[in-house]
Amino acid sequence: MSLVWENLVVGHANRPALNRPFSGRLDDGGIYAIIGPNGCGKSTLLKTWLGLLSAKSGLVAVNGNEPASSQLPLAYVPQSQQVNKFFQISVQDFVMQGFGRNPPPRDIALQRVRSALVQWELSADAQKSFHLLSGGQKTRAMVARAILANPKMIFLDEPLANLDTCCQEQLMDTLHILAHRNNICVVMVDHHFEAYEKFLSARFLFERSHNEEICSIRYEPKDDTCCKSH
Amino acid sequence: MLQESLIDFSMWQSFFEADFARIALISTVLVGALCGVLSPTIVLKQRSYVGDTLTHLVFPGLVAGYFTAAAFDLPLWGTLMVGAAVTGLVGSFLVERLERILNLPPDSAAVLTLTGFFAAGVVAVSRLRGTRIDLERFLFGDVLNLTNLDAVVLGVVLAVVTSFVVVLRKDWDAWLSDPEFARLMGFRVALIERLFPVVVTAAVLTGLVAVGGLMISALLAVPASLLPPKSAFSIPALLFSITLSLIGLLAAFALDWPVGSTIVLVGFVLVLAKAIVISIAKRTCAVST
Repeated sequence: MSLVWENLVVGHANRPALNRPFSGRLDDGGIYAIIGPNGCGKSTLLKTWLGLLSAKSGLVAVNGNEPASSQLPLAYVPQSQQVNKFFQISVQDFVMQGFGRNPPPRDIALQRVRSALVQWELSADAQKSFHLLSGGQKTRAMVARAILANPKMIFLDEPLANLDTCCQEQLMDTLHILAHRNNICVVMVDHHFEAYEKFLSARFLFERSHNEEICSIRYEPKDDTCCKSH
Repeated sequence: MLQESLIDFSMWQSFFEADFARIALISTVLVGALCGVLSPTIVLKQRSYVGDTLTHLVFPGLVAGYFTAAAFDLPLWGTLMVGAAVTGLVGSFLVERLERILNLPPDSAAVLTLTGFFAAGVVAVSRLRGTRIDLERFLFGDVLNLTNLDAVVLGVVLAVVTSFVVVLRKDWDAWLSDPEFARLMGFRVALIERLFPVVVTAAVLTGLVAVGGLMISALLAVPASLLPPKSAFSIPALLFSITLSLIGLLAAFALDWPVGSTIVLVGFVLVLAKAIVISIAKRTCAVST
């Protein structure tokens, strides 16, 4: 599984570009942090890598294909306000969406969803509406949904923000295991890595000089990692 | 008097022996079912204004239809359908373009366009002497003057719309809860985003002929507002919508009130009742704690 990008510039349609062109690739297990000030384009970069937004210029490829061509084992944990707040979908049905269009047979699917709910301490809330959960429970439900179908790459948008220290540790431990035992690429946008520097394989830093509007993205490996950037 | 007439079954029996009453009953149930199927999506996607918007967008098309039929001696239903479809589609396209080009919220773009189109229709009516268009009928429909053909068209549209929602239910649900995640997981988001406006337009246009624009708007909004749905296809919302239409129709017959308005009123009273019950319950909880 590889994510490759060349001379990539991200930004929303009809808005200015957010970064100077940058190139790189991610292909092996590890936790990669995207760090930078508010509004600099971190979530936009994440969505562009996922194929949810088109690049302003440059190329993105997952396993040599366009990322949006679905069927790719990518997973996404958006910010929880992105979930329609009027929809009273149950937590169990919500997590079940992680199987995508072609879930396994119903009893197997249910069994796996239930064990995911137990793992993330949500089994008591299985039939509750997703929107009655607390912020932290929502994040846990979204993580459970994202990793249900054993993805090869996981992209998370500020998952730590709503979690208390205990749940943050649980999430980072799980992601660490996924990254190193299952060789999964975990890409995370967040502001709260202070306590979790030891988990990170590398960082992408959005940097902006005072007189500039546009950011440069700098790749900063922690040590000897499998992720290269040029 | 209401009690007497409701109890008098023989009166109802003889009443529904009349063709117009049977067609009215069947059409009202079909419209209720159609709106009940679409209500969860309309409410969850915050598109309750779509029914109202389309109703007004098709108005100048209807005026043009009346005029064309009279001027060129064409069948009225055909010119009305074409006129309504043309201004409905042009208007919907314009709403979407205004939203993007002027960077407006969707409801503002819709209101600007619908009022503009409706005003054009009103001006046209005032200039075209000799064409009589009943605005009230347009807003509230005329369920007592429907034909078998109207009921058949409603039945076909209901069958098509329901099968789209039921067959693709998982895709609708994923799209409703989080479109980006749904797209990424391979749910048929692109198909649904294309289908949704078509399905709603078809439903509103067929319902408009039968029961009027105001009732369509109300029936699209009421069921899912009263019974928050757990899925795009919600059986409670569907059953409620059918029941509401029936109660409204029977009450209208019993009281000799206009049918469309009676159904709208019954729905509105129920929404108010739910709001009152909830606020009383909240207050009681606050007092007891």
